[in-house]
Amino acid sequence: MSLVSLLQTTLLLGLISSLTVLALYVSYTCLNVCDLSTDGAFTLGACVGAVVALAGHPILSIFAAMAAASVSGFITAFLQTKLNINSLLAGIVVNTGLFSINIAIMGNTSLLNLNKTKTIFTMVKDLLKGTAFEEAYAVIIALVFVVIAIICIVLFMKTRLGLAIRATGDNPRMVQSSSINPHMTTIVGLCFSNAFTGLSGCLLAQSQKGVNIDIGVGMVTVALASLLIGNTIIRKNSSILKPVSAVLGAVIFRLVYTIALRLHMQAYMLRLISSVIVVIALAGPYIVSTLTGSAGKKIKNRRRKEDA
Amino acid sequence: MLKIDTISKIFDKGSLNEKEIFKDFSLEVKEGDFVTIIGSNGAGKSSLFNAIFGTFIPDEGHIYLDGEEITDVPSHKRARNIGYLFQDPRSGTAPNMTIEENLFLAGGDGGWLSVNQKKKTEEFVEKLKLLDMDLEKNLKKPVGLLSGGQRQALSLLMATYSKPKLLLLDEHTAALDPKTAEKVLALTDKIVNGDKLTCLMITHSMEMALNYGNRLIMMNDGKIIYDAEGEEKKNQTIDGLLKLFRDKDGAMMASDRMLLG
Repeated sequence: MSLVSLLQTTLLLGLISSLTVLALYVSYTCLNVCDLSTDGAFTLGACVGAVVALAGHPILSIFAAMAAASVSGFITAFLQTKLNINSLLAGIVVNTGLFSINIAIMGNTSLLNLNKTKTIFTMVKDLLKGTAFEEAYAVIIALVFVVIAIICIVLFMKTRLGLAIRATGDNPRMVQSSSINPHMTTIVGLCFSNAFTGLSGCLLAQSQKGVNIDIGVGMVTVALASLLIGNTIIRKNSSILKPVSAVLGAVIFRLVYTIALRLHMQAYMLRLISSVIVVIALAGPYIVSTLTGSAGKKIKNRRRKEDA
Repeated sequence: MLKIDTISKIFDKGSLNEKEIFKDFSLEVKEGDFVTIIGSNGAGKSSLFNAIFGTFIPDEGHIYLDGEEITDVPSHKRARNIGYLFQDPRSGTAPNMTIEENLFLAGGDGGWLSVNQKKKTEEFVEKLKLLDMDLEKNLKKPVGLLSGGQRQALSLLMATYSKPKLLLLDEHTAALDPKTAEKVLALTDKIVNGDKLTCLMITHSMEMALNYGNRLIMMNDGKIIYDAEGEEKKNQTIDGLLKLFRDKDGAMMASDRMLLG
């Protein structure tokens, strides 16, 4: 594989997974809900997208995938608000249930082939035939979707509803005092975020011309790792830069992964690496403050006392 | 205006922790009243607010606001008519959002997909100037970076922005230093009198309870043990309140905090 096409694949996968990272930006960063149904919703998007494309509706497949994942987000949110189930548990339960649903959607099989199916990717490829962009058609499609997604998110987060969603993650009590129903904002937020997860899954399935039931496994950790990498690179708290940093994080994560593969790391190590990155990113600040800050001094003082 | 009609509430009924908060508790507040509420810890002052705001629903009895029954109305709907300020300055605002964004949530009047308009921001600036805390110069600053007093003043502005029918103040100056507390209190008085709000204020300071408002309620053990209005309240003193409490209850409620606070 040439270096250019390698970089292109990296960029493509990074951009596609960045849509899931953007979804987590909405649910995890803004709404402060760790949506563990992400894996299932990603696969759901891939399955629905594949099935609808197979039925001969390549454009519709994208919207269908987003809508289906949105419904799954609604159920997760419904469980944690109206039925008062712990938000992590709600995500896990939905994720488990989606496994069966995804197989049912694919028609009782865990594998679908899109080799000869008309998808948005083949359509754009035909369209760009003979132009300078012929080679990069897949990256262009992904980039267009990512830009649209960022614009949608930035604009949405500026509306009253978007602000209410952010406030729900920040201080639910204040939201209630502002006569806004925090259940409603959680439901809208998760429907909105899951639409992007579904889109992400749909695009991955169509770009790699096939979907299997494992396509989304570990996606939540990979996306979380990307999100945290992005946050480390761009620390500025701006409503435009935050989503951009999420995309940047996703691409960098893929880049690091590709380099590691070139250094003969086994492909199956991806998920372990993403887990380690998440642990480092989440625990890092705490460890640093423990070693250098007041907490560290306290521990040292206690040790000194114990020694004395 | 506000009518609490013989409510009863028992928490954790049937368990070892069973606790009766209210038994046949009634209270009526007239329009424009500014009621100060004192009482020892566990007297049921905050529980009273929680019942009014709908944090819990009473087992029995009814609550009416402005003639409408609100006993089963969820909190976020009551919030349209009830402003609520807590002791903790962090409770009333979203720390990671800017002053402008916080105010837009409390005072914005467009639909769900509306965006803050310049005109509205100018209105916010005017209102913030009234607080005299330099908040109008920091519209884009996250609220988390403000001092406790600034945050509480902002919370007060947010809670009263849409002129609620009823304002609940739960020791809203207790976590502030004396000078700031005084400032926030003066602001409170200004807003309550200016907008002619009906207001209930819990305080631990007898002096404050006597200096503010036109009616004073003393609570103990989920009951109102003293209720003074108008002239009777004006002529009441701290010593008088202390004596009253000893007579009614027998126990020493007067903690240092109540005398000094």
